[in-house]
Amino acid sequence: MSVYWNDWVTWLYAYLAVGLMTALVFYGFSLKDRPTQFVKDIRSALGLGKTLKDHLQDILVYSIAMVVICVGWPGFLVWAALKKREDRMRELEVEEPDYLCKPEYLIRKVNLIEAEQENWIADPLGLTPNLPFGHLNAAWGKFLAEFGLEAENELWFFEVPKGSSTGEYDMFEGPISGYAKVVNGKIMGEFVIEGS
Amino acid sequence: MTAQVSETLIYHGKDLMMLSNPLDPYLRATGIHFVSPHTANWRGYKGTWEIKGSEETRQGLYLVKLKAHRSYEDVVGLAEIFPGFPDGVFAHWFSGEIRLPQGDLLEYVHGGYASQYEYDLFLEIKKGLIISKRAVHNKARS
Repeated sequence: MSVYWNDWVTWLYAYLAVGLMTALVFYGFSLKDRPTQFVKDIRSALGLGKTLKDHLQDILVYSIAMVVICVGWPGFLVWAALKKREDRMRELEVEEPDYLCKPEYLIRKVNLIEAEQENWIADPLGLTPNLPFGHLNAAWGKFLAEFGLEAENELWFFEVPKGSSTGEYDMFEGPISGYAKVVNGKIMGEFVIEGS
Repeated sequence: MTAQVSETLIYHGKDLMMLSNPLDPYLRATGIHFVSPHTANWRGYKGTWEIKGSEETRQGLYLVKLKAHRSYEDVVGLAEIFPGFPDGVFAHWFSGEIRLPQGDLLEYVHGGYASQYEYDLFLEIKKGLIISKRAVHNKARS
């Protein structure tokens, strides 16, 4: 059997064949989201099982969807790619920690030794541990352990002015200061030494 | 939100109600969490604080007593959170104003620390040290 690529009907069949394959792939993905047998049994026991009408409705919806994808698969693929990208962006937004420090609050770059030297505690009664950051020394150690040794990791002193709204908190009554881990201009961690 | 139990501040030998939570920045920095034992204590702890030091030189804010709920039944004190500091813990992590209401209750507000009293004494603290004081005479909201 020979194929006549100069015939528009051949091109139409090829177009629809790709559309059919696309529709079948997406139908396969949709099967993954179907409720398990356990869920179906529970729903059935609660009187929420599918009726004949629901099954017929499903068949109708799937049939229409298959025809639509077969015909308009290029548009459907673009839509699916955009949706996937949007979902990923939303996931990243949720995963990203909400730091109190924002880029505008970064004051100066420091090294670890400078940061420790700046933070010996002036306790009037001398009760605070004689360590950098006093009672927060262990928390500082934890921050350093997570800081990493990569050359691009920078330590910055930051200060959020009194009355600012930042992070998950609103309108601090006092200033907030601390140290931020900055990688390629992006805040990747923070250690707050002073707040209200 | 229900009105919240206050912290206590011992100042000039008197026990005063303190409507500020200077322990919160420490808890955030260290990742320590307490659970609420009831709706009037969402933060899960109640602390007693004291202003210590010489008025001529420097005075600081110290946590001297703590009752905190790790769970409803598991209540811990200062010794568990700050082992080895029975005489007080200097609040060097706190900068901001603490509010000490005094006098008659002018208006009860069923939420947070929003109730209004005759006077408010504010102590401004910088890294645990008192840097200024101010008093405000309140009038009942009509």
